[in-house]
Amino acid sequence: MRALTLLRATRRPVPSANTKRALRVALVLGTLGFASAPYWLGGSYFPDIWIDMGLWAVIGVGLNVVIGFAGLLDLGYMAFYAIGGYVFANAALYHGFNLWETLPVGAVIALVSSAIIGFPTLRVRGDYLAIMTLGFGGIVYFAAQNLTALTGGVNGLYGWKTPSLLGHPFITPLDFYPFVLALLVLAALVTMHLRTSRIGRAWTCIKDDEIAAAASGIAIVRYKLYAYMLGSVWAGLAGALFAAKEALISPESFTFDASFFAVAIVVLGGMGSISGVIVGGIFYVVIAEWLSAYTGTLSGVIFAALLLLVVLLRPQGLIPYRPTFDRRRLRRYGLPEPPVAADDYRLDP
Amino acid sequence: MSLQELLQQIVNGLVVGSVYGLVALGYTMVYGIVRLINFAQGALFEAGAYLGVAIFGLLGAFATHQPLVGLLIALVLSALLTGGLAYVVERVAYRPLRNAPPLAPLVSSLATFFLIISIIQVITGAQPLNYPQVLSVTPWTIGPVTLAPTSLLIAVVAILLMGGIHFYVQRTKMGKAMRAIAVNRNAAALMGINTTWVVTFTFMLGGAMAAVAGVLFGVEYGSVTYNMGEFYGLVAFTAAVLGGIGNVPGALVGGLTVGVLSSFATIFLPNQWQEAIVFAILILVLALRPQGILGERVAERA
Repeated sequence: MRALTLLRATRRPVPSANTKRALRVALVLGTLGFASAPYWLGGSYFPDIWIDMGLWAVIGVGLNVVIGFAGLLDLGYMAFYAIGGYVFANAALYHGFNLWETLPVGAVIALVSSAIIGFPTLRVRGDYLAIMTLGFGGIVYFAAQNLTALTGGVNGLYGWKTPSLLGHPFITPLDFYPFVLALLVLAALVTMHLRTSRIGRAWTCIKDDEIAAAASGIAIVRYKLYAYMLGSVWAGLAGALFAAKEALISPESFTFDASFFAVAIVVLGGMGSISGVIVGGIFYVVIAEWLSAYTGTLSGVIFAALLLLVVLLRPQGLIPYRPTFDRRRLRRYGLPEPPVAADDYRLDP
Repeated sequence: MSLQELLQQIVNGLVVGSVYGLVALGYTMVYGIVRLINFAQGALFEAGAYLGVAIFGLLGAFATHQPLVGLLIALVLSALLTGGLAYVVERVAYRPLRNAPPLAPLVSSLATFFLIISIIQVITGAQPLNYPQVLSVTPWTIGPVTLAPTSLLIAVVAILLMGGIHFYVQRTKMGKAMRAIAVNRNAAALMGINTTWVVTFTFMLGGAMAAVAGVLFGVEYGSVTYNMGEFYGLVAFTAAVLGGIGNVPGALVGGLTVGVLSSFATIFLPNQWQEAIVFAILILVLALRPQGILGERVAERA
């Protein structure tokens, strides 16, 4: 154990301004290159994989609000992914709606259903919450399998008209890719701003010390409910896009395993860290897609072992969240500058 | 639905419920002592069942000649091995996180659960494995209901073991230490109790009971699948919560109740609804009476 502590984040010398700038440019260029990879790699395999990465990254970003920001363990997150997907499939199949008209509806239904589930659920204490959400995920999976009239049962739903935008039909994965990317960017930006908002600061309080937060006048259940709803909405949107891209939706995508992987993405990537969970989502697809091609079912073992190792050795995740201080805002309110550089702040005690 | 059918489902429910209760013991004891939902318990149940298959395989013809001795050997060996596995799990995945924030051990127990299940899947493949039919299968007819001798044996073994654990927790020195830690771990440590070992031992005891339940379950149903730990782990957790988590007799009460209720459900509803019934019981109990049937009001509300 002693030797392994070397793996933990240690304090490094502060790099010079030039190095920092060079690193930042490299990071931006690298991200752009990676995000545009489907265009220059071509074919339909790579766009498909990149869409998967994007969708899992959105799932990570959404669940990060619940787990990372508010500290609530949600083991049934993929239920909302299923809800978004089935709402889209029903609207498209039976009412001829286009994907773009359905997305807001899917988001609203995910919001409403998370409020209905969250309200009784979030009153129970933390570790019971995990079980409640697990049960909810199980019920939605069960409903997807058995409520044949709504979900098509185990065969799922398919055969709706191809979605189109301004007369341009969406057929190949490359057609969908920009929208997945846009959803990811939107999710990242919105949750980034949520974190420093009044709601986000209340979440941080609740996560750090629930009793102290209640004593400070934070309405615990209400803010937990906000976290649950504002996290679930992204799963609803991603689920609708997923169903549209696959042109099929069936219960197999929403098993308990999927919810487990979603939690793993957040913990691996770094709870609370938006860039971390995006990397976690990409990482997950790489393992699930490319590794399982060679090792078959072994990918489950590898992923579970990785998760265990991260929890034990690097609990802050691959890319830990480092709070930064908004110096402009501090100055505006006439507050003193923070005594330590943001780089010195470590979650790991 | 006839009265006969009703009685038959009660009997079936009691048999399977006693097995649930045995798995629930592990959840309830660990939760009572360290306030942790030990997700790995479902995986230990499954590991015990698969070890049982392996042991019966090794015993070979001996198990068919001496079925009762063979079953006993399988039960004891599987319990010992799974107890060892539980030791490893506790040592590796839980002990380093004893003082970590509450989410960490929960996630690590989830990862352990998944790790064990995936390993079993890699070793045995996704196909269900047949359990050797060790005991005679001619069922007895008692009045309106039929009861296989194996089923009776299973219920008796499970209930005797639960009685034994209750006695152990209430009457022995180790049991007293467990109860002391449940009340206040720091104070228990100051009284000279080796809390680390007592917690580890509780994990091992829970794992061993899960293994016994796994073997009994395999014998009763005749086959095991690589993902049985997922659903039955949740059923057993439901049983523990329903009985009152942290409460040993509660595990039995909860197990029997869940067993009978889900058995009843098969009369009125198609078979696959059983899962939904269990989930519904779980959510209703957690929402309406989180302390369970026998539990005291420990679950503080936010």
